[in-house]
Amino acid sequence: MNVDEILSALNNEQVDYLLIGGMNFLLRHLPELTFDVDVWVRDEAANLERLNRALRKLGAEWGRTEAEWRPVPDDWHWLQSQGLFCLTTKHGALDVFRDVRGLEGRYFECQKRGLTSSTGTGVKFTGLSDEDMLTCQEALPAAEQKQTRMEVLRAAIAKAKEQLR
Amino acid sequence: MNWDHLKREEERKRDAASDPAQRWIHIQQTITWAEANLPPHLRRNRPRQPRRTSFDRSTLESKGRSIAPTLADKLGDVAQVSGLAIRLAQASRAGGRLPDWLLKVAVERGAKHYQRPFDSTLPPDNPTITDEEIGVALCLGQHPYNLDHLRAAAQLLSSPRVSPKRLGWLAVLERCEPVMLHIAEVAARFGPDLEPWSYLRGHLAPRPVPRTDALPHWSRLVSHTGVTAFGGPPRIDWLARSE
Repeated sequence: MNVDEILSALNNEQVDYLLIGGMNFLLRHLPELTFDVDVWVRDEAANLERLNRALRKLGAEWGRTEAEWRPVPDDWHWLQSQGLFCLTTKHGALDVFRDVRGLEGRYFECQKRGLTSSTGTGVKFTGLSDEDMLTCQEALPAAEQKQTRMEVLRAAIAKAKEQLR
Repeated sequence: MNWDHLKREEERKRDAASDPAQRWIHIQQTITWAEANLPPHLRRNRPRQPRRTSFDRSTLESKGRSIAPTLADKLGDVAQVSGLAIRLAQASRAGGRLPDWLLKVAVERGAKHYQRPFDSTLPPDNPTITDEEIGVALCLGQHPYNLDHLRAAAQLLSSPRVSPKRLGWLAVLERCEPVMLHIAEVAARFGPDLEPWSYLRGHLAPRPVPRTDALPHWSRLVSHTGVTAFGGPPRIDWLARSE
């Protein structure tokens, strides 16, 4: 998977998104086994339309069932049919979230706290802050929480607070 | 449908719909990409600092000269006073800090695997000094032994922008044939046609030295990628220069 290509496509179409999940954690903290890119998109019609354009450029495919799996349609309204989508693209797996558990309805707030950075090849992205990543983990059922990630996040938050003092 | 159920169902559907071979390729690419994007100190194949005891040879100084072993010492060879080193020390304005400056410049020019914080007071790169000169100078026998210098030279020189002829000529002039041929032999295992190494194997006359165990093991000149939770075969790539 070429993560740069996925992020570039979103950037080129000016999609308003936040990088979340394992890839965001990996880019900021520690290597973690993760095989898809998770993005949280601003859930507004114009943004979903731009997202759909980016997805089509990425060769994204999705279906209501595996039998209906096919390239995403021209009309972006399918993106309003449910809260999250696990897609394939020619550059790898992409998960699109219209809302995120633990942070429901707080996209703008999280975006303000988000950290803008760039990948090794210089592709810019804004990722969920450490505090918000931790909130997401804490909202998961205990069996699904990633303990190492939570410990690292807590340590990073504590360190950042220490430095502010 | 609740959130967890939806997520699980979406993932199941994608797994069922996607081509396993394609997915495998994407997983391999993800690992490679992730490795390249990790901070250098977290990479699996990161350069390791040599362990230091509280009292060792490298901490001693005698009459202003470090008695840390040189590369030539390690090879059982005699170090010559290099004309190239004198010229580069002047041209770069690095003086006695030439080895550090060479490593910094090699990294800036594309030996990115060896990225690390460098002394900010080191002089900037000098574009009049060629890549071949930087690469050969990193392998001079007179420098204190530092495996990373040889590794960085290998990555810097693994580029189509390097002139094999000029590199070979400089290697003979500066008595770096053992190091260059060692790297060239290792490169043959991963890319038989990889230049400038292919040319050096064919044209550089060997100059045997008593010991070669101080030269980098093949595993120190490659990137190991593709070790996955799925038990797939690891992928080993020659560390070419980041152009």
